[in-house]
Amino acid sequence: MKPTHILFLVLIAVAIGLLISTMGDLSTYDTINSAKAKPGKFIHLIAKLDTANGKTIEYDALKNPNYLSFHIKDSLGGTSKVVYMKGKPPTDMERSERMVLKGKMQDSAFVCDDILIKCPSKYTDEKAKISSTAK
Amino acid sequence: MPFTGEQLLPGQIGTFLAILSFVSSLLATLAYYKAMQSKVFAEQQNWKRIARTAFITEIICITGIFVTLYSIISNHQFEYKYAWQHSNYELPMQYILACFWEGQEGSFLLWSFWHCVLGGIIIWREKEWEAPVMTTISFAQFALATMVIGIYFFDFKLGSSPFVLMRNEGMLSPEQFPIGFNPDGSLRADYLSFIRDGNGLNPLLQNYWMTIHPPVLFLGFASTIVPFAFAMGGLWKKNYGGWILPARPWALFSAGILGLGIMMGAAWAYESLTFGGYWAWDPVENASLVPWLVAVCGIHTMIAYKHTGHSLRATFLFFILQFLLIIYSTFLTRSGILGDTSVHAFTDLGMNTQLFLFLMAFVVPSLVLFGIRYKQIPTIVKEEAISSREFWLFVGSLLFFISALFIIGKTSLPVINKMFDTKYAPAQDIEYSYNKVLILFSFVIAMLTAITQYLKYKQTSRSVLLKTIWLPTTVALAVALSISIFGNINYTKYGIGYLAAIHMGIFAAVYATIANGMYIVTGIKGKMIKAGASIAHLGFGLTLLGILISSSKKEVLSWNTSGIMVNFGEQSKENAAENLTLVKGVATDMGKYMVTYLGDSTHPSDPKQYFKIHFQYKNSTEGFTLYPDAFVNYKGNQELMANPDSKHYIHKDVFTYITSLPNPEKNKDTATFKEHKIKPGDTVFYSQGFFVLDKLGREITRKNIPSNPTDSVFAASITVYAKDSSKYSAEPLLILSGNNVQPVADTVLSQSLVLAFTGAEADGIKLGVKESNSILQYVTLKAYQFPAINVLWLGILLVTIGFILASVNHILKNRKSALKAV
Repeated sequence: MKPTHILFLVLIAVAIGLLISTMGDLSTYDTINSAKAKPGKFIHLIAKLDTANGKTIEYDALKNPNYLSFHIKDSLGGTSKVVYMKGKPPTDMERSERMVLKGKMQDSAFVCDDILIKCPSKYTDEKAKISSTAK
Repeated sequence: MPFTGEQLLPGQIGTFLAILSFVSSLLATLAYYKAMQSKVFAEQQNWKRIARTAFITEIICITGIFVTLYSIISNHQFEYKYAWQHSNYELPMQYILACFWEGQEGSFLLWSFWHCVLGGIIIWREKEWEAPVMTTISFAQFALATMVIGIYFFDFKLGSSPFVLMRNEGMLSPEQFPIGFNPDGSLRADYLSFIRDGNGLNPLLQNYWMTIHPPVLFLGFASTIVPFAFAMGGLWKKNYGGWILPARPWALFSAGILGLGIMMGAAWAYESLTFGGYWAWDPVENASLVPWLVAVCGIHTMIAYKHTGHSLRATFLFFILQFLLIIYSTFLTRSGILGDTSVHAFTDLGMNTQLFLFLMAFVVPSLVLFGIRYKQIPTIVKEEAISSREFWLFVGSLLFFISALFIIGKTSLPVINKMFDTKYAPAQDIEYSYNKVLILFSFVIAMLTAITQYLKYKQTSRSVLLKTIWLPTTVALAVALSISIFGNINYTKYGIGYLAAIHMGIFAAVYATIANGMYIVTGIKGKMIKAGASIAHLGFGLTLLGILISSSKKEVLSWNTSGIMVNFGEQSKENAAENLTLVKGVATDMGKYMVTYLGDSTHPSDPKQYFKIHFQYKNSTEGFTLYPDAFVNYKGNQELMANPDSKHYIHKDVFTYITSLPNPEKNKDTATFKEHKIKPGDTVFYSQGFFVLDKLGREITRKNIPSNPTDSVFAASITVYAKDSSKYSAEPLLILSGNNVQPVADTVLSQSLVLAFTGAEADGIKLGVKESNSILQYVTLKAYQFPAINVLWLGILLVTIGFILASVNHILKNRKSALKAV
């Protein structure tokens, strides 16, 4: 065998190895209800902030600056409490139209590692701002 | 109906120039194509003359659009949507340029502008290759012109113009903007006088990096087209090897600038944003890194081809792909498809179809042409010898290429989901999922970087190699071992295997640095003009070393060790409790430092609020003060947007930023003191638990109490038992100076509890108890320590210098050989 052939075989092996390891790392997008069916598994949730019935965002930097809790609901009607142990509520959380939450569903709440906020598109948002800048 | 105060002329000029640019770039493309195809010399010259005129018109148009749009923004002409969206009166002058490229239209214009500059240089310098190269560049200009033209073809909107008016874009409606409308629902003639200010630049982008990073990055983006255009020209003209030498300086320049632009973004993220690092494998970062990786592959196989005739096909492929990946990354970042995976807030302009067509307009022709010509591209049948430099150049490039494919494959997950309707999400630990693979690749690549320079083309004899390489190898081993042994690198978060990989990586990085540094002396005998490659490789080694050390030794200073934990059962080791709350004036323990929040300040001309945070070394009297800042309630926005501040030492950075502030709305002090009459031994309940009055007396353990020696002081020792089973002590005082009785309250911060004397009696005291949050001024922050970060920045600087030096060297060489040919 020529050295280039060996080289290509090695490379193919490397490529396959990479593919398998990458596939193994992947997680999934779930709904709140399907997440509840697999507690303890790392998943992504797409949901909205739930403020119905007096549910609030709880954060008190004096008691614990690393504890945040709030409630979410998704388009299929699932609801859950969320606990985030890394800090304050992300910017514009209250105005967000949806959130991507990464974490694991536990007994009492969805324990979240990361929150990504998606705000209403700039366009409609800006329209609203004209009235406040134009006095 | 005319509207008072509107100035429509700049917009009309801009729109006219945009259309003219559209037409002239199309004309330049066609004329250059004709010039390239024509066999008759006189005809070629004629077409070239037309093409040049068209391209120079294009340059004038783009420059004109630039100037027009800039004047609209800098004069705050808010009748234009672009000016209103991106600027306001408050902005300092240096950010007006930043407003220009905040929007998609402006950034396309910036890209287009750099194409004009590069195209101008090619027309001026590249005689033989002008027509084929400029055909591609003119076509790219045409494609970019469609992005900003903003006209409708039937129902399809082509591009998005930066010169549209607010009132034509539905930005003004009677509901949102009632004051600007007549009672009959029509817009008032003087509506403009009611638009007092613009929306302004996103506060996160109000940073000097926003002024300098995009131009450099876009120069890098734009310049990748040049080697691509050369490769396409070579394929089209069937001149398969002729383009290599003229394209080489361009390729080196492009890789140098693109690399610099990317890392300026990293420096921005590190220095001014609160990402807590310089690189996070965010899709937007990856999308610009991958073309650079592939361009570097192309440069290496190009060199192998130049010296030995091997690897020409790979060179074509790499230079085609690096440019296609630039367009692909444009598609990824601007189409909004990354929405769920990226922190970068890119807006969807509604141009996805057009962006996709833009991508396909380059992907299809270039790959088809490559496929058709593939068999004709000359190769050398004989294999490279394993001891030859070209063999390892090729292996290294291939590894670099695979790592690029790995990165772009992972980044493209949302695209794959869209295509196959799957629902895969990124890995749990995104950074680790990249790092664990790429650390192995970088080990091998850094080893190759160290050794390959010492190999000769065609064949290297073992004895020659050993004679030259033993010294750098020994030195590198000694240095790397001492870093490993004395550097205290104990990053065990991912186990011993990963730690071993880090140590191996450190050796390879040191080896690459030292071997290339010594090669400048031994290999090229100190001729600095030829040292470009060695300097770049040396810089690459240092970059890698800086990355490995700063990431594995990154230290969180603000570990929350205050014991103030909600007993929730969810607090595990993985949950990094990195936020720490500092109460004003109270020194808090943070590793080597005692840290105190001293206060904050604002300035009328600066919308930011600055926080004064003092770091005091525990073991010495030295210390330093950092001023992280934040936009607080900027434009009615409730949240704070923070910028970090760091103390730079040569060997490390201490870095801090504010994550949270008390909300004055929520924390209004409505609580009052509630009086309890108690004796020693009595227990009083409060909402979070209870406390016991242990004793009363005159022995004071509290320090820093402002009192005179003549004063008589009376203290109550109290132990507080909170519900979460933590225990605190408090000592409210009563100070008698003369006839004046002054109570000094004590607070238990974590319980928001204030205890103060309200009176003393013969058998006990009257104690006032208050529970309130508003008593305190505090900030919540995170603080990190990054060691060896300067090694990384030095590395990047050297890589850039190396690329530019190599580029200059090859320009000079090409000129010399051109002179000889004459």
